[in-house]
Amino acid sequence: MKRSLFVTLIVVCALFQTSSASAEDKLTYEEHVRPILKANCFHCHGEEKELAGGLDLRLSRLLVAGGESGSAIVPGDAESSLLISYVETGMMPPSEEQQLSADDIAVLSRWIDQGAKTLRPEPEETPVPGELLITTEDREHWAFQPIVKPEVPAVKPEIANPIDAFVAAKLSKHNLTFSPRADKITLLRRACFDLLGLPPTLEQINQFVNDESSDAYERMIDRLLSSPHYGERWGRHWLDVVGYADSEGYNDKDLIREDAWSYRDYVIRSLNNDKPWDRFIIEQLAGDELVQATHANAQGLGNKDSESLELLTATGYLRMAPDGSGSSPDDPQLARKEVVTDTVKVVSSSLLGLTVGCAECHHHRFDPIPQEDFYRLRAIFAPVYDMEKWRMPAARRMAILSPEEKAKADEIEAKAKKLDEQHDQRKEEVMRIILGRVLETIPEEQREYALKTFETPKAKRDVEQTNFAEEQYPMLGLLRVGTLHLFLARFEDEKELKESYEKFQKEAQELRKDKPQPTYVRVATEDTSHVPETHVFHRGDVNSPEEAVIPPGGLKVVSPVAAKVTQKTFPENNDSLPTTGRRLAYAEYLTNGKHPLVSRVLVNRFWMHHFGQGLVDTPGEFGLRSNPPSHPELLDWLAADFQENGWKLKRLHKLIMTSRTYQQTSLRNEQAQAIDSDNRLLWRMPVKRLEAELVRDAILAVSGRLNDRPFGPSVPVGVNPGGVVTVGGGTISDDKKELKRSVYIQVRRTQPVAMLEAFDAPQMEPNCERRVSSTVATQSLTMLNSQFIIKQSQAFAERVLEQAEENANAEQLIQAAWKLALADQPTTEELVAMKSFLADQLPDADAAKPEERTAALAALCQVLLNSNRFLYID
Amino acid sequence: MSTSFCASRRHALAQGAFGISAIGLSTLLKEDGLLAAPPKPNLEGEHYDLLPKQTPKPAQAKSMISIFCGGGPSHLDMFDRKPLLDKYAGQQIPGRDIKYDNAGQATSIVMPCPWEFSRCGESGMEINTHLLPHFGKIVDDVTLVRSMHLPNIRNHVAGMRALTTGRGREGWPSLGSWLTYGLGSESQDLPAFVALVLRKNPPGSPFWDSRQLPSIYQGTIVRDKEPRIANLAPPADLDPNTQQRQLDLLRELNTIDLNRRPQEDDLSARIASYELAARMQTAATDALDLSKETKETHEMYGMNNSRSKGLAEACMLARRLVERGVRFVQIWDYAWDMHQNIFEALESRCEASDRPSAALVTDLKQRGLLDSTIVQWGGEMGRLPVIQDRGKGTKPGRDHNTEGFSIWMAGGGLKAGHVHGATDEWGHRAVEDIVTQHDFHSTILHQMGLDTDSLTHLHNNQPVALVEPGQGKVVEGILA
Repeated sequence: MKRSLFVTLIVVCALFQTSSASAEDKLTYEEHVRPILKANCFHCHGEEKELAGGLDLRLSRLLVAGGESGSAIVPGDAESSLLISYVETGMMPPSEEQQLSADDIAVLSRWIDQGAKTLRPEPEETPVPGELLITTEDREHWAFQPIVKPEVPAVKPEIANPIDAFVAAKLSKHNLTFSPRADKITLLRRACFDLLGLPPTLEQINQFVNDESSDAYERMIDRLLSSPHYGERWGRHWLDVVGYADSEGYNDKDLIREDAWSYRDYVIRSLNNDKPWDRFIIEQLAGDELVQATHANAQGLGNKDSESLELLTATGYLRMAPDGSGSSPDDPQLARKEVVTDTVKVVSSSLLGLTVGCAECHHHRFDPIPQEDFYRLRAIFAPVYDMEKWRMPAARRMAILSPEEKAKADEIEAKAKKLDEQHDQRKEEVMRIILGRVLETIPEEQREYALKTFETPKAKRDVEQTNFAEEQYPMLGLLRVGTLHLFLARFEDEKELKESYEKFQKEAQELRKDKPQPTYVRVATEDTSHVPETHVFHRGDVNSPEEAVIPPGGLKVVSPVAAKVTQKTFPENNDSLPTTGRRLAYAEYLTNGKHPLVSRVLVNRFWMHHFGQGLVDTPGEFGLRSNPPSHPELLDWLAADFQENGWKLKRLHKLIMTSRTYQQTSLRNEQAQAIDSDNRLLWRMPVKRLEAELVRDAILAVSGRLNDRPFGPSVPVGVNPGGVVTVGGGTISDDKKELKRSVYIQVRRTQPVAMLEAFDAPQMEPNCERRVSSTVATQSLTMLNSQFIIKQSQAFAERVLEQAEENANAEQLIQAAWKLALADQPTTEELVAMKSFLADQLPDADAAKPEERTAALAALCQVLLNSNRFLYID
Repeated sequence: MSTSFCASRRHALAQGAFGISAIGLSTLLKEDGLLAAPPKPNLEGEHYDLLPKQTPKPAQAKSMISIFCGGGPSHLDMFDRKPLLDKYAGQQIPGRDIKYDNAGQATSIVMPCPWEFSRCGESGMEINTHLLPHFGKIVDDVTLVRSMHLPNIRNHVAGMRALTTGRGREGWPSLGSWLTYGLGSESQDLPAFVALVLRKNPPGSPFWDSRQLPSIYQGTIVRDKEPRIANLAPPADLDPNTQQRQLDLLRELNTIDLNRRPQEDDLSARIASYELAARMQTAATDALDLSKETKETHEMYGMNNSRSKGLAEACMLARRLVERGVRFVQIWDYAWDMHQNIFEALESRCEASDRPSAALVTDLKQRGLLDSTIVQWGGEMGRLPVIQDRGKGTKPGRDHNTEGFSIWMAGGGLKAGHVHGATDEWGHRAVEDIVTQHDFHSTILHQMGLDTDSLTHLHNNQPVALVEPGQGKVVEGILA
């Protein structure tokens, strides 16, 4: 064991060797020294406006020049160099926890002894303190290079799929080959979960298994790609990155967002329609600008036509960050700032694959992302989050009614209004009847005067009349429509009289119940009357804005080298639009096919969802600290091909899924295992656990209880009597909405559904770039004891019994259940085990009552739903 | 070095059966210094577990019980006597700017504590023995901190968050999650982090959430009535043999499956997790069974007083859990917010709390567990020295005071019979040896053998920590 591990270590070193300095290497400032100083020292010595001790470490010659204590280094003599004695004694860095490692100190010493060489001449101009210098090395980082479509390697002629060519070329370099193709059922189950997030139905199984044509597999993939469930599965992936939530978060109020779900439905529809991703991105970043919407006219536009509505709904993307500004936060200004910050974080991690959040407070410690970069990005989005003219979440939504709904609402309202009039008229009549009765209490000779007084408006009565109505006959003075009910109470026929006018009111109420209510949709729009200025907040503090106004812009490191400041890759303000046009310009810049990050980041994420691991294993982090891609050429080829072919995801799925690489078995083999146990070279398909939503959805699909109605308001969650947060809080409504797919379940930040949370559904803080996959006992307890699993196992058993022949024996029932849950047939060994279980549960099967039979089978069904065969995809 | 690193590696070594590849070789390589690479996040095969971890420095304590007195117990009436309040009783407080939370109901009339304080134990700690007779008997085991201070925080929810997560803002991992993340658990049959909730949840989002940390570090709620743990027990109407048969069949099917695709670590881990779940059903049921405690113990904790029964149960449960290796138990007793009628309310609350919490310390000590367990009692604030008159004419109360308040701690390598810090002469602001929530957290981590700087977790590639660098310091003055 020990020996073989050691062999493996060496091999892996050879596979993924990271650059390291061996003793003979010529060390240079740029390659070896700067990274150490940047991570540990630049913060005080160069990248703050105040140079600590007057010392700047950002260039080799500045080290020689030194600071208040003299030269930091003496080239050729490490022993006499202050730098070395400071770091060796631990005087620097000042924090005890942040001392340099012995290895780092050794590198510094060797570099000085070798003469403190640089790779190339250093710039003559002395950099301004505080500025982050972007070096040639930074710019040469692979992820910042333009995407150039590489040649497909010429491998064996039978390898037609370019993906396979790239993978095979790398495999053969390491004496590896593809694993055999998986069997049909395995492929079907893999494809169904990958594309739809659901287990194969009996119909899908039969159709595929019985199709013996040579393109049966391709046709199966096509069928799945055209399923409406596709968007539910792949929409969920995007919603993770976007940080979709149905509540505001931020503080304990965690107000519910009733207006978020339209965006979720937009995402699902877009994926189902295979909307090109360049368009998809533009719509989400700037759908409002595409239709020239502003804060003032958005609702009107949204109600005008469905296309405008769609484009406005898309901007919900910019409204997903936690937002406490409407939840009476302790510090309102801070709460506002956080929304903008989180939005920038979501945009950068979803589209740029870079962590820019830390640049809010200071230059990035490792990546060439200066603090201004964060604020340039912020300036793009500032007009939809204007800190000076802040709109609360509730003021950023449209009330939408479709033309049909509007017509219906108008029609109902017209009818109801008529009833309102009838009500008023009849009430007036009743009041007159009562007036008659009041008059009867007044001596006959005064009745005429009384009537005249009554008819005279109170303010116009003379003194005598006032006295008459208020002192002498107060009943007369009090009577009006508004006080009628007080008078009625005195008469026996109160009920009839009341009823005679109230019936109109009730009828109107009934009618209005059916009046279509507007749907509220969260949108991002700009207020054309004010464009906020963006300033760097010193150390991220919202109360310390710096002086300079920061124009909108992209990341400096991917802009042309020559540009001293960020070259304007898009206009600051676009006069042809009523709004600033910043977001539209930025979105077009990101999707113009020349941006080095966007399509690489996207295809890498798509790849990850198929293979469990990206070609770059950090899907949200393509910066200097990321591991290099396992297959850099393949990544670039896919990114270029994706762009060239219209940014179509379904086409990419098909390309990936029809590859040999994708169709391999997941079985390990000893030889390959010894060379590449992590399967970074893709010699087999990895085994994946079902994600949280898939566990729940698959159980419902197998039990036959899944409500597969798409779209609509999010299904509420609540605490059940056992103290657990569940869908619907433990009750199922008549419309069975609680049995809908998990993507439609309310995402309440402070109340995650316990079952989904147990299986690692992410908490949106503010978003999730990659899920973890844990194996913990709470999952097992949920799958053994929860109400949900017990009920669904029962339903599953009922379904098996309903579908079975009347005299079906145990073996037939087991076979049927197995097929529903796992798509194939049990082996003899498995069958024997299950038969013996049923026999133990039901010793006397013939004498058993039907419910006992169902209960025994339900116990078996629950085991199937708990099995590794069910919870993992091969 | 991030802690998850160590966790993964030790896990792999401790759990040979799961195979070495579970954690990714390059992680191992990096840790062993075989690969000279710049620091990178731990990317390959993130794996989290609850196995005990080696601490970066020697640990004084291995577990902690926190009795969280939500609402804000009045330090002025219980722990921090101020003679000046007697002198100025009923008068305007001279020249003081009181930081009011609710200025509308505020007065500036000084209100003294109506009871005498007395000096207790060998240490002569001065406390209110009228309200806290039992606490008076354990003062020689206790460190009383009179200088707690939460900067920029005034209300309950923000204060409770500050003390559990370090921040007033929602959305960060809680102390218990950090401790289990950094230390794992001594028991693999019980939840590592337990939140014992009396009556109802405190206001605000859960204070036992793991947030950015993996969900296995989240606190498990134990309720004050059955079912104490969600989904722990099989459905009541299920024949007990059925679940055992199910587990047997499941194991059989999973083993057949594992033979078909060997070396899949996740699959064997899941087989193990069902065994753990089964063990947990037994172990947790046993740990939560108070009928196993003697009559004397029940009495000592105050089970036969209807007022103290709730906290007595919770304290006994906490001791039973810690005894079985649970890392962190937090009892939530949200009952101390006394804006009116404060003196009657204090008598009643102290009757409910004093005996059980003192018994917990005594009991742990008798069982030799106090040395390795930190017990902490306190809320998120204290109260003001002046009258708050909510209902005009009703009996008065005191408003919130996060500027200065008291908590006490015992065991776990902390000083015994010691008073740390002080508030000003009015008991309003902490002025001497101030302890913020960050200092409190730094100290707890330190005693548990953890470092504030190395206890970090990468979330979306950014490090998350309980205490940000430079934010808190270990309170050396209370370490034994």
